[in-house]
Amino acid sequence: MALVDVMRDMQEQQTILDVRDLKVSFKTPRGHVYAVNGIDFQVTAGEALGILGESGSGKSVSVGAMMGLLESPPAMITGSADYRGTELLNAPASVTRKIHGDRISMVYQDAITSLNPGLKIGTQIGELFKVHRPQMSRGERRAKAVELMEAVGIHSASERVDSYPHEFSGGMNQRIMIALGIALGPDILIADEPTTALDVTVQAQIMKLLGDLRRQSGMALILITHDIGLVAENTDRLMVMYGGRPVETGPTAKVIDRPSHPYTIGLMNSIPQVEMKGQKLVAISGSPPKLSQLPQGCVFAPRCPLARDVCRSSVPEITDIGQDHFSACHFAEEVAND
Amino acid sequence: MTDVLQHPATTPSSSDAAPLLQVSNLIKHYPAPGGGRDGKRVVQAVDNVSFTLRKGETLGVVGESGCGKSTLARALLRLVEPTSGQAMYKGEDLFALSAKDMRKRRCELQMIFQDPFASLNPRMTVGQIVSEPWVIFPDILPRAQWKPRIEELLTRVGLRAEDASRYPHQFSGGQRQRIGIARALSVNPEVIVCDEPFSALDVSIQAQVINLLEDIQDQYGLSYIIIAHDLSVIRHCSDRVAVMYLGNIVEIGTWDQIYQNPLHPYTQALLSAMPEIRPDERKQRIILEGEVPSPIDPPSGCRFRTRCNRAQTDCANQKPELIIRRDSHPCACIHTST
Repeated sequence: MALVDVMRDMQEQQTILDVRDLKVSFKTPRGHVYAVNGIDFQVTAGEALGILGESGSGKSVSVGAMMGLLESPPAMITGSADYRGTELLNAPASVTRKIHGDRISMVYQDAITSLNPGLKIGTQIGELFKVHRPQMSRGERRAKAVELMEAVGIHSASERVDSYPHEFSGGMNQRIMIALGIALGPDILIADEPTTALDVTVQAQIMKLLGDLRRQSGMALILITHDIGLVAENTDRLMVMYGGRPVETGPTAKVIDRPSHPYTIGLMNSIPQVEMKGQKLVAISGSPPKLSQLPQGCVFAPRCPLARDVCRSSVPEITDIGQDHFSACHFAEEVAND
Repeated sequence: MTDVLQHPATTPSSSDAAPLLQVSNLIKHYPAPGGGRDGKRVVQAVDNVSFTLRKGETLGVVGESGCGKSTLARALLRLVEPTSGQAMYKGEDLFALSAKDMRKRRCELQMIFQDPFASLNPRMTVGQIVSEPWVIFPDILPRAQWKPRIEELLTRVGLRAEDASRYPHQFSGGQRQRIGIARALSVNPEVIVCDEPFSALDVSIQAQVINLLEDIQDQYGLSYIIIAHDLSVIRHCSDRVAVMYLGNIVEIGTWDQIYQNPLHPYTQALLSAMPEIRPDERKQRIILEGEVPSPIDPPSGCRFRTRCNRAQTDCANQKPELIIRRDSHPCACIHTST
């Protein structure tokens, strides 16, 4: 193996974000809401990690905690999120300011409400440099804004840099959000439902753009979504969440080919695929748990067709079922081999 | 043969059946903002749309935001008044009926809305919501039978009889959509227009509601027009599919004609953008350039030509007719056969 390959291999294996036993709960007048109940995951340099879950599964809250977006109180955050040796959870702003937005940045679902309607696009991109790269001059900031707008595929960027968000379409505003996300050359870009508000043809444009940028810059991507098709096409590894816990993790292709948790299997069956035409969909019965009253054992047990007594009394550990594939089910092996 | 009997609309004989609803040249133009009092500048939301709906079938309407699919649904039931056109239903033109006669017809033509949170009155109990149509049309059901009928309807859609005394906020999104379905069923309709009935629901809940709509269709012989942007949902639910772009139907056919053998370049691009759970099975992805033009000043000739990879000069000069092409099904593209 050539030295270059070895070095690239080493770099690819390098863990840059290590999240351990992250828990988030909120104190509300009606009691505690347990949004995230112990998740672990690692992000290695350059990889694309998908976090898949339905509403209330805790996927957005967990990155919100990492990014310092949750006000505490009411949020109570425990565990650890280590970015290259720096603890992000409950860290003082003087520490996280150098990381958030700079080394780890975020793209949100709703571009139009995330952008300031009263500021020109160029000013908004420039603001980022003003805060994080104070040595840059006004002219440099503007030039960099134009360059970034071109990089995300906005034509005649040198004229449109003086436009306001309302003068762009939803897809174009999402491109601007991505320009903001990649502006400082981050190690990790977190995209929280980046295409949910967009049409499918625009979604295809945006996902292609994110993929191209990732390949060019070598940044890692965390893609948070409820859309299995989207993670299937755009991620290397996948974590499926339910009721604030990861229920299954592994290489994306493996999880999809051989889902090994009853929830993942149920989710896959719920999606209308062409083979199911003319047949009934196999829906998951019931509805997701109330996060204020989580069941005692496995969170999925009340809806699980395979649930037995042990599922209702004890929380299943995340089990290695081989080939970097894990499932949090008491009967993981059985389910996987079925 | 029981299987065929359960899906009458998919058998060849019934697809030749007389149309239940025949829409011709439906136009809905809105006055454009700043268009002046003469109304010369208009938003051409739906422009010259014709199709038929047969008894017992499901017609799916797909298209991206701004293509006019929701306006089409609303104009059909005259929730917005159509600008011109004809909708023949049981020998009468719905668009020519007086407001009073149309009101009566609405018992037969019901609608289910997208947002299960906004379409139910929060101050009415579920029982009141489901029985409200009987207040307006007292002939449907004598008051003495209201209570048992409410209970019957609620159990039919998968709720409990005692839910009649609860309020909408006490239900989840999926359960509220069930309430909306019970309300639509309360007047014994023949046609239900569903405008994005699943888009506010999580995947696992969506499958439950899809199954419910199919069950009641079989039981009551209903015809559906289902409007959605989710291509896999439309493929699953529809017997026939219409694809809309910028106010026009560009292609219409049976589900397999549209999904297995799309003729129009827009349909081809749309289907190729659909995220697949198993990405290796996909065909070449066509990424559309640019944006949907404004419906105030749509392109001359074919409205898709500005983004079409097959466009030639003659596309700007003539409006492509929606006629059967390549001996298959109606498609509005003059270069279909090239």
